Amino acid sequence: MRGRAYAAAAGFLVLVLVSVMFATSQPRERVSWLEAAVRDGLTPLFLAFNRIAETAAGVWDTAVSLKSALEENRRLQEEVEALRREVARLEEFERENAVLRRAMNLPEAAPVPVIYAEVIARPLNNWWGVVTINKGSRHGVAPQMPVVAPEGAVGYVRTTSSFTSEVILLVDPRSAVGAIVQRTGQPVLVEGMGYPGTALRLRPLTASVDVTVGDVIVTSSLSSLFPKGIPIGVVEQVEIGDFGLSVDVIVRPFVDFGALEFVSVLATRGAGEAAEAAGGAEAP
Amino acid sequence: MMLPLRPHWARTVTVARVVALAAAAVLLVGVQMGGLGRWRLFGVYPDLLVVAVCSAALQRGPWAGVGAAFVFGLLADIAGGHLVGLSVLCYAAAALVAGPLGLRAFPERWIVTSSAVALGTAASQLAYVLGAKAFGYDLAFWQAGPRIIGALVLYHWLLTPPTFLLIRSLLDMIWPRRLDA
Repeated sequence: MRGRAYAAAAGFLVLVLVSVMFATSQPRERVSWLEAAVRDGLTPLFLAFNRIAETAAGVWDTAVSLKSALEENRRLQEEVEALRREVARLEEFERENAVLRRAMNLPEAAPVPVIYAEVIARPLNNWWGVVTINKGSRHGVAPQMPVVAPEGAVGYVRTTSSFTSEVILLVDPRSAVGAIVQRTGQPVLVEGMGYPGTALRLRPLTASVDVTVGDVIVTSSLSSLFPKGIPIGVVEQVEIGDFGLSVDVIVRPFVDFGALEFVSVLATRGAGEAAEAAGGAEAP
Repeated sequence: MMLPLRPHWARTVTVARVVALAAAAVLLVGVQMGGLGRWRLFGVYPDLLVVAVCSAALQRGPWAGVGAAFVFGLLADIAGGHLVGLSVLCYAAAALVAGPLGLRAFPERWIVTSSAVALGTAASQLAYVLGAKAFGYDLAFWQAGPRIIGALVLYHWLLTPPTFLLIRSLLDMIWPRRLDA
């Protein structure tokens, strides 16, 4: 008799779990109060373990890199010199661009407010490309805001709690970002692969797309998430299907998603409303 | 095989034990998500909680493992999961696969422990992909599943000795074994 009661309780529990799974499987911008409370409550613990792991990884990396430190230093100095020259060249382009925009009466691009955040937790399993950052709605972060790193596009904010946000990475199977091939300007879609890894799949949006290995892919002005021109990655492999009817393109992202430590959330939209709703707190 | 539906520990649940289990769960989830998330090996992130659930199931039977799966999985999903509740079912699958091994063979033997962790890991991954598919997320299991499971098993074997000992200490503290027959 008691055995049946246990079986009934177990069956009921499974039913409840399936219902919860169904409710949370739908796209949503807000998490429940319970999820928000647990995430906010666990933030100090995540930060503590994250710092410990970071320190341990730092010690390991230092030990490994000591051997090649001298050569690395020389290479980096050369790279700094090259980047200084590049910055000077780009500043000249920027000045020229501003002059031309004024001459043509085009509006100046407004600077986007940036919210800097630290990655404090990573996914439970390997099938999703998701990280948790230590800035939430209290700091002005809102769903759908793009997230970038110095190397390029990282992903976008999916949900927020008061002090944390969940960021969907570009490699996540749910991610799809509008982009262009920088060399030709042709529009493409960059998607997660549907399984864990560090590569992205490129889908052409025109009948014939001119893309070759080494082409740089950047975000498009047609993207509803990202501002235009943010680097995504470089084309690594192009496979043309039978009779040229299909093309399979693999993109290697510039960002190493496994080594992400700090990211920037671009408060492109909703930041004001989010901060207002949170009691007028301003994004740093 | 018929699994016992009336576990001994179900009659000995106390507030102190529940609090101790919850504290252990919080700690393990913190280590998993905050710490181990930075240590990718063989191209994958480990799932410490699967190893913990398999260890509990091996030492105290499948239903103890299912209990651990419920607590660990639910907390982990609420803290940062996508399909809240799916991890519970995946960890429960791991416990139900690993637990019977502990009932039939001496769980402290390395071959038994490692087999249980390997089978539990595979079962949890398969359950996750099937569960996600049921809710419309077509994860490409055949392209990546075997590679992920292989890499995870290797990684989990590295985590098994400390986790097994930790879980044994925790269980002895929270639910001491009865010495009478």
